[in-house]
Amino acid sequence: MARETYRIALSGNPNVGKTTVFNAITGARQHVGNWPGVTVEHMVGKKRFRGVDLEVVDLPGTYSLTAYSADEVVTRDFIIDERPDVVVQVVDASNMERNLYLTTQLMELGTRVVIALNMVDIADARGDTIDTGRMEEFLEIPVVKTVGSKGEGIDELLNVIIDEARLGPHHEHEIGYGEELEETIAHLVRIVARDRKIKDRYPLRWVAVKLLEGDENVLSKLKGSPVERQVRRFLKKVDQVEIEAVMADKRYEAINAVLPQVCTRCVIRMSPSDMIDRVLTNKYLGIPIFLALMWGAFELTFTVAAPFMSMIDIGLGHLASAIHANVAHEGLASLLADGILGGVGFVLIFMPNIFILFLLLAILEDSGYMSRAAFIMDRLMYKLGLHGKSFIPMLMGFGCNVPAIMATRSIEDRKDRLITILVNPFMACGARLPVFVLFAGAFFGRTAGAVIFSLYVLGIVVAIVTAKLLRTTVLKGRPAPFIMELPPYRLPTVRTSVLHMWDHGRMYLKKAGTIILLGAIIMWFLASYPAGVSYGSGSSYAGMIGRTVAPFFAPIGLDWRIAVALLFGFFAKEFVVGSLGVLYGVGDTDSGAITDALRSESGIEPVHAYGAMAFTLLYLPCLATVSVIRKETGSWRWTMFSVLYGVAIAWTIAFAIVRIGVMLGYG
Amino acid sequence: MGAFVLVIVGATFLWGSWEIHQGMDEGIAYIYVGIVLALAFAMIYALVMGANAVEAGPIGNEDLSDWEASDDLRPGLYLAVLPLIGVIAWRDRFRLSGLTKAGK
Repeated sequence: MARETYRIALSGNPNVGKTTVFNAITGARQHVGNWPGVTVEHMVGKKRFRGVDLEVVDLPGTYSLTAYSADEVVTRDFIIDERPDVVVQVVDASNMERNLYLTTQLMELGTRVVIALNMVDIADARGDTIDTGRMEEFLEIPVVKTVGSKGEGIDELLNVIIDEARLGPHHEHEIGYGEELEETIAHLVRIVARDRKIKDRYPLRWVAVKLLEGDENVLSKLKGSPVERQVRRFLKKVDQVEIEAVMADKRYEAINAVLPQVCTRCVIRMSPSDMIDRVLTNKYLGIPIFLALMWGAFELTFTVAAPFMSMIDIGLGHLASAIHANVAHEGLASLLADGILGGVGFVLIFMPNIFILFLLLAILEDSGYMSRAAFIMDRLMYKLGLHGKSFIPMLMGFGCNVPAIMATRSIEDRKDRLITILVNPFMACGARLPVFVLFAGAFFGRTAGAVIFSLYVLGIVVAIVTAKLLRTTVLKGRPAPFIMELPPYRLPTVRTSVLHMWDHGRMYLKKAGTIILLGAIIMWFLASYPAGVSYGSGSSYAGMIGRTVAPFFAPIGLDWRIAVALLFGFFAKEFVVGSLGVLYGVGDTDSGAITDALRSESGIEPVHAYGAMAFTLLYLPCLATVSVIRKETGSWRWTMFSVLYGVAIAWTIAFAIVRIGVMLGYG
Repeated sequence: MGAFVLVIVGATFLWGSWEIHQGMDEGIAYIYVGIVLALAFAMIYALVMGANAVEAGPIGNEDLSDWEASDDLRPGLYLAVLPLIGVIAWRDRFRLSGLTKAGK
């Protein structure tokens, strides 16, 4: 007589204790292998229980059963193709809402499901009371409480698994998607049902739902099918992005209808984090609140830093006077005062802005708000062709583009990652802030904070438009959906926030003492020679370089000194302000004098100043960023594209700002 | 931008009031967060005022030579008195003991 054997698949979200349950069931009887064609690992274990042989397959941890990652495709292909007798979903009892989302999708697959309600000890300790009887009643699925780490509930789970397996063919459970959508699903089911192969192999309702959600993997299964053309024609008529969102909403609606009736505490009392999230991630208020907070950060960055800047400025002024008074050699005095103090000192003046901005970003990051910012931007970013995960590297770009581009490694999809890398240089890094502070302070007075904020917004807008452009042309496709866990809010402490501020800000300080110092000496040399020319004049080497590139900058109203500063900004963005300090300082390190010189000698009006700031924001990435783009994309073509596209878009936008501004009478 | 911030804070309070009016107890979250937002922006305005006072006074910035405290007395600053009363009245609800400290 043949031995009774069943095949069991173990599924669940990541970090729900699935492997612990797997180990508790199979003990040492397991082996590790790879799924065919992919590098996703899988484990298979054996267990003999009540005289029945069980083969247990540990499926990859997934949040849903879409086809956006290899893990998800492997999981659902296994369930559909291998048809395990029972799928056990390990559910984290302390996070039921998120876990039950996968349950709804398993139910749609029409498989026989058993829920192992794991980590009930944690839920119990929290005071949650979960009524498994009611849960079974609502979901029509057996539910067994387990504590995998202690082996509790495992025997009962195995008993239920065997009972379920003996019930034979599976039955389908359905989530209702509303009358209108149900009609669409029914229509698509009728079309797909004409293909016998598909009808015999897959649950038709599931196929229809997946097709409406825009599942490319399911669509590819229809290749060569007699109904393929008809299905494609039908799908063209519907808004798949909208349908996908509605379906997700309906699944959560179903979960939220069940949850309060089976879990008596967790949905009644809101934690402080839940309360804050309810507001800060609100569909309508979330983005405006984010913008208001960012504006507040830039207002503080500009205004609160001002007294500290003035103090550094006064100190450097005294130092420059002391140099001129005590160094007899005229050339050496000029090198020290005009070159080194004018360049490095002028960069140092902006240290308070950099540190205050980094401190505020550190507070927002440490509090857990930045994860929410990524979450609230996800829907907008997805519609515009960017992956939700892109927003974190984009926010990191406010500090420095180099680590931000390296952080894109967390994005699995190649196209998503490439787009995120290419748009990252449009995020205004800390090194560009001094240029904004200098120009905005000189030309916009008390609205400078709002002007600087608008430039950061401009950077984000250009990044998003560029992403959309790339997504609809050379990098066609849909971004993968973004699933992220929101960490609980935390109270930022002075120590951690200051440490984070220092970590980011010291890089700027270090640069001032090394590369900026070297750049200031080179710029001083270029502004002082050939011998005999007056310092910083048009006949100096700097002037010659400036006059050569000036025609490129003339249409946007910038003089040769600013052109030279921008040119040298390619090596490091701090060079821009350092070079302006050397070229406009002309024997005076007082930032007030440089501001006056910018206003009077450059011949530019506020509208040109705004154009210059927009150009600085968007043009060439710095040398370090270019090299990291090359490394991360592995392509010179994309690197050159980034450089040339940046220059082209910067010039076009600066030109548009200046021309439209002049036309409106601002210049 | 000050007006934009006022609209956002106001909208947060109104949203909460509407939810509570509809019988949704969770609407109270909007009132609490609205209070925190109003006070956060009031603090930003106060810091801006303080910085300008230092620039105009001890540092003697010429651009702020005719600066007066009333120049920076924005509505977001004096309207913050109301949320401040809210914090005092509900001080037990604004204890931060429910949040763990960053870095722990």
